[in-house]
Amino acid sequence: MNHSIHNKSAHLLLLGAAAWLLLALTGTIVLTGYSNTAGAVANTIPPLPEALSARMATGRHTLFIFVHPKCPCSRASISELARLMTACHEHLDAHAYFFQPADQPNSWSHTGLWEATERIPRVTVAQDIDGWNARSLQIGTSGEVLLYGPQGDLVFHGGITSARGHEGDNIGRTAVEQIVLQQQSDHSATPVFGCSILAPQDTCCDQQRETAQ
Amino acid sequence: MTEILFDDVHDERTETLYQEQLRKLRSGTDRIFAVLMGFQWIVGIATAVVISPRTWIGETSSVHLHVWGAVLLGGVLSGFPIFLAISHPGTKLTRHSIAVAQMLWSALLIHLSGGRIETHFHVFGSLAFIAFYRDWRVLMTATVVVAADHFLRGVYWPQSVFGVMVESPWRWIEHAGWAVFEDVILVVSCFRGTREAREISSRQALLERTNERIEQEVSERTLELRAANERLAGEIRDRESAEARETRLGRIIEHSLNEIYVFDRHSLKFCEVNRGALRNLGYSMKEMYDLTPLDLKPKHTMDSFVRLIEPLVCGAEEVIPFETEHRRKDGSLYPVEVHLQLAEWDSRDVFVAIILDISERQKLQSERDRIQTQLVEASRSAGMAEIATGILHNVGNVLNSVNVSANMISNRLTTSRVTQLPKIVGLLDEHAEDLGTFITIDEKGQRLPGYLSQLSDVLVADCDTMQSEFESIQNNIDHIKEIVQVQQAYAQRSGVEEVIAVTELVEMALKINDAALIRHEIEIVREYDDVGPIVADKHLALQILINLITNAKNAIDEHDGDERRLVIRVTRCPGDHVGIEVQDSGRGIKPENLIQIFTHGFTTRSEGHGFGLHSSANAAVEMGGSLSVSSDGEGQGATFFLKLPMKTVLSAAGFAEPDAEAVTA
Repeated sequence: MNHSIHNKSAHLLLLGAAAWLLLALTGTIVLTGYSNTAGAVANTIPPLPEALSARMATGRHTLFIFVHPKCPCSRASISELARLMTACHEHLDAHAYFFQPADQPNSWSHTGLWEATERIPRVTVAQDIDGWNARSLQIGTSGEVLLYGPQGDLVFHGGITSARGHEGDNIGRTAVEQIVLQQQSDHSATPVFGCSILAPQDTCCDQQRETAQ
Repeated sequence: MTEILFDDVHDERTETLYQEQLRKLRSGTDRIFAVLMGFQWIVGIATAVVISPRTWIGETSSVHLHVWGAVLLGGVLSGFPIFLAISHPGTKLTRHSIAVAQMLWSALLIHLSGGRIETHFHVFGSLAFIAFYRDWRVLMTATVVVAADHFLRGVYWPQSVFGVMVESPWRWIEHAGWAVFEDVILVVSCFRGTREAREISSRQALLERTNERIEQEVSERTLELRAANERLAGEIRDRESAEARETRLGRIIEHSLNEIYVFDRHSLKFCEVNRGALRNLGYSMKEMYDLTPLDLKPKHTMDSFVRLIEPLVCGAEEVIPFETEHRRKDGSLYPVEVHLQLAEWDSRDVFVAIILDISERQKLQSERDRIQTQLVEASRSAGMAEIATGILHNVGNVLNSVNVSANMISNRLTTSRVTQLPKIVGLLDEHAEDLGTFITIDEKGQRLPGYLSQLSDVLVADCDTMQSEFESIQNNIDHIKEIVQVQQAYAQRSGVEEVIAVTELVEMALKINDAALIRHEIEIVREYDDVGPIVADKHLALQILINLITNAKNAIDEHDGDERRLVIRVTRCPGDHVGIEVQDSGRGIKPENLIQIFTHGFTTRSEGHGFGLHSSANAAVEMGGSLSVSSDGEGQGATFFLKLPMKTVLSAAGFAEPDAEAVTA
């Protein structure tokens, strides 16, 4: 009698353990899937607005990065930018545009992320009022990078992280480094992982989207 | 050492200790991980809230999925292992579940921290913690989880793991390899740890066994020591007791009022004399050393004393008691009783004399003789008084009946019609000449014959009544005579036995009390068995019955009850005895009075003497019978039961108080 109760209890326990394992793995997969889901990226980037083209450096590469100041995933993008600027030295200038709603005070965009970006050498930080520049360039995801060559041609666009908020070696950063330092790379576009800078209705309707998959 | 190591018992104990040690270690590790799981959950939530609290789309935001992941997935990851660690500590399932959860926690924390390289240390730290179990299989489980995580990520999200877009079949092995590298070290550590644990268990088992032996040895030695101590303590106690006893005896002897002398067997000089002797004699101890018993006993010479002690010297007697006189230092004499015996004292033969001054005893003896004489005289006086009281009491009872009879005769005479006779004689004389005419014609003369006839009947009836009363008086006078004789016999300790019909005896007693019983309107119920005659002192028995009936009459008279009945039963009792029961419906006897009702002088009546029942009980005992009483209490009547033997042998031992056992309630 006791033996059968004991066996029944053991079986229930094993069943519980299996259910628990299944639940844990499902949760892990869901979370991992979310982190690895890329944001929207336009296939064709319109010409630079005049305000941005005026900032193009001469004789070296220029990088524009568009950031949502409150996006937690973009901290990884800024960290990767810092690594990139360190690796490229004077061969690269960078300009970071932080989304700033026009009806919000300046402090809205002056977050820790802003300050971290300001501390990176050869990186200028500016507000993108109402995301006008991002919208004109069909940039939808925080952390998206546009890299222009010394002649002003677009040589790379995409993200410089491997997942949402995930620092570390990734194809985007490696590609930018290779283009700036070696003038060649196997990749000229990568998926971007981050929050949406603009609301969906604000983005360009005719953009073509692709995902990391 | 070798013998013990290979001993089966030792191996079994070693295994038990080893398993117990592992169980404790693993249960303890489970508890540590339970705490760690809770801590990791808190840290995970805090990390998510601090690093990625909200996700943004333009100006709008919502709670970041990392926060929900930390709360929900973290809760799932920690909850089940905590439950197992509490409810099933030390089990395999708990260990392996904790290993799986810990590795998944590594993945979650890496996620929540934004893939920080430092967070990957959690994987290696966790493997080290898991090694606390000293179970290499658990390490394998953890490693498999890590490897599977990397493998699956490499397949589905290669960039998130390896930073490339294309899966490499070997890259995940490189990452898992670092885990395996640590595993090798940890597995070796596990094996070494378990081996050391087993060795420690073996040493502990050996130590326990050695301790057991030592404890057994100590216990045995302790018991022996305790027994030896107890023996020693017992001997010391005995010795102290003996010494104390000797001391007490010595003190008693020294302070005894008896005189105790110790003198040499040969020289007869005193060796030791107690304080009582010195005080009585008036000598000092120093003076005594030069004296012999002959100096104290003027009635003895050396020859007579030697003859006296001869039985002791030759061993014929152990002690010689004798009485003599002692002479004090001042020359005065006093009578003494001496108990002389031979003894050994300080390794030499001595005589020990215990002497009692019997001056006071002799005085007391004289006084006792004198008091004895007085007592005898007083007893004689008391006896005579008791006899006189008996006579007066019994005669008084009879005289009551005599008085009643005399009163009745007197009443009869007072109311007698004999006074009518002179009137009739006068009438006849008046008509002497015409007597025939007078009787036949005269109206008075005609009634005269009838009147004379009636008068004759009345006078004859009066004559009969008076005759009866005279007979009663005669009987009573005879009874008084007998009472006196009985009391004389009682006084002289003798009596006359005769054959008596018991019912006749009872009727005679009733007859003597007849007038009083009729006057008090007492109903008499007779219940006689056929018991035949007995041999007894008729007047003693009659005296008892008269007493009992008189008492019953008094008890009924003093009670206000409706029933006025006296029941007399004559029955045959076992053991050739006859029982005469006198039961009344009178006032009864209180329980506290029952036990003393036969005591001389005890009475509850104001005019009583407390002698009747006492003497009756004594008489019953004297006849070889007994008298007992029972009553249910006040107002419930009483029953006296006289038991007499069919044949009575008068006791020569004299009167005695009735046996207390004969008194029953």
